[in-house]
Amino acid sequence: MKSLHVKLNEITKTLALRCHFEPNSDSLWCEIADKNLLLQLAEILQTMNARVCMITAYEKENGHELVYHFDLSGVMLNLKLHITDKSVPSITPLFKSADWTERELSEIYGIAIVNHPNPKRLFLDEALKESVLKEYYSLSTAMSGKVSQELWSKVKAEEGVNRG
Amino acid sequence: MDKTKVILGPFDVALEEPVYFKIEPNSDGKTIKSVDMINGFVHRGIESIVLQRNFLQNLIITEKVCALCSNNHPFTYCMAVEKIAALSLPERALYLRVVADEIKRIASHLFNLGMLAHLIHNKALMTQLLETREDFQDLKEAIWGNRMDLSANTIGGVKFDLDKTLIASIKKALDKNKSKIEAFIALFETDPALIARIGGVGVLSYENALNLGVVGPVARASGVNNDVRKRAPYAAYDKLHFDVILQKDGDVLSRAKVRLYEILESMKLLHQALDALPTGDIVLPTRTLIPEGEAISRTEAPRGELVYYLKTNGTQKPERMKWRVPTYMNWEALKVMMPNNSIDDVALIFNSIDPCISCTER
Repeated sequence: MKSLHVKLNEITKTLALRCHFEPNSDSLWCEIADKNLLLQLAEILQTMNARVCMITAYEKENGHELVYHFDLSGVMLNLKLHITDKSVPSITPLFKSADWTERELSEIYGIAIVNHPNPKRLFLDEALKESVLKEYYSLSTAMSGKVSQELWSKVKAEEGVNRG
Repeated sequence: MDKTKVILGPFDVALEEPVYFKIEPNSDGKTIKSVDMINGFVHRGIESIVLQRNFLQNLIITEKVCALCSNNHPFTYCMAVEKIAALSLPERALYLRVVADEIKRIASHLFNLGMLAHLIHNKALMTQLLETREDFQDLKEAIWGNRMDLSANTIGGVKFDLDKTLIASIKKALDKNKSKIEAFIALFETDPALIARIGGVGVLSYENALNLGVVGPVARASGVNNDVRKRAPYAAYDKLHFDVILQKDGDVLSRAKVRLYEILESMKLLHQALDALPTGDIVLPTRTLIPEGEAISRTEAPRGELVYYLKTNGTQKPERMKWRVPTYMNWEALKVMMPNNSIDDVALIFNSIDPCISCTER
């Protein structure tokens, strides 16, 4: 545990990151604004057997703030990345554990994930537009399993297409 | 051979929780070549709803995310709020949180094992497992007045207290059921028919478990130790002794064994927590306004690590609140577990990750 803290301190120092540990030192918060640095850090973290717990996003004036939550043997590294162009490189090629949470970013905030190996929709139906956090949809339109007349007519229409 | 796909779901695969499996069979027509899953049948947009409620109202919303982890959601949410408001809780509340959590874990594990017995058509075993669970359901009813949603936690403490009678009834339920759990363990360790049926099914190797970042009993059955109670202790877990259960085979049998042995560990934890229960308040006496800030908190839910992120801006509603449930990480692992298993076993393997879809899709 202690050696991990030393190592984390070394990394943040060599990369000149703005970081601070929480008082009980089980989580570390860092802020960056450079996407290349994100990939650089992700590569280092991968060699340390980190695991992606979650990626959160929220809107901030002129852009989005992404928070990457990595677990390193019980220590949570929270990496904040500020973006202004709604796009971010994927870390899924490095961390399989980032797959779903990255896809959810594009679904809810419309953030493009560059180089994602499987950029399909996660939960929402293709018919809904991206970036839906603050939109209202009735439950029957938001869920992809619309067990209703509408679904049935969609099935019938597709059948028509298949049969030419 | 034509490329017929086998479709399972979305409804009634193992549980009433909906997932749509598209399975491509091998050329023998009986085993699985690859599997694709379509999700999103119970996505309700709860992360958006919580932004429109205040911090106390969200206790109720978080409890409604899922029934089986319904204690861990408000619990982890409270931890995040308490971190931001820099509250330090009365000791007694920390121990009572452990009590609620471990009783919930025992009942949850027994439910999953009961479903496993159901899926291999062993009705006698299923009855025994669910009967054992019933004692813990009754216990919940006696303590919290509810059999699923306990409403045990609140910001700054807990909403229930234990008197001598209740403590005695918990201990009685533990003593009564310990030998039953040991008998189940003996069955899963030695019964040749049971081992032949579920051993070697749905294997997830140690390397894959690490790569995919799976959590909870699924990870521990493959030998990956990421039990949050040990790795990043919270509540009173750092003062209590218990062992992390690890297995190496990573199959359906190992996952069942992890859950069974964990029930014994939960019983150990309950005894310790009840014996060491400090006196004092169960909740902070005054309500606090929640300042601006952000926090991350996590707990070990019955299915694995549950993570909450909360950002506040000084108003009494969250600015952003996000959570990630254990099934979210374990689900993708099904694509690794299923190939080359029999199509008949899809439901069995699916059940072995103890899926909680309503949690995952929110």
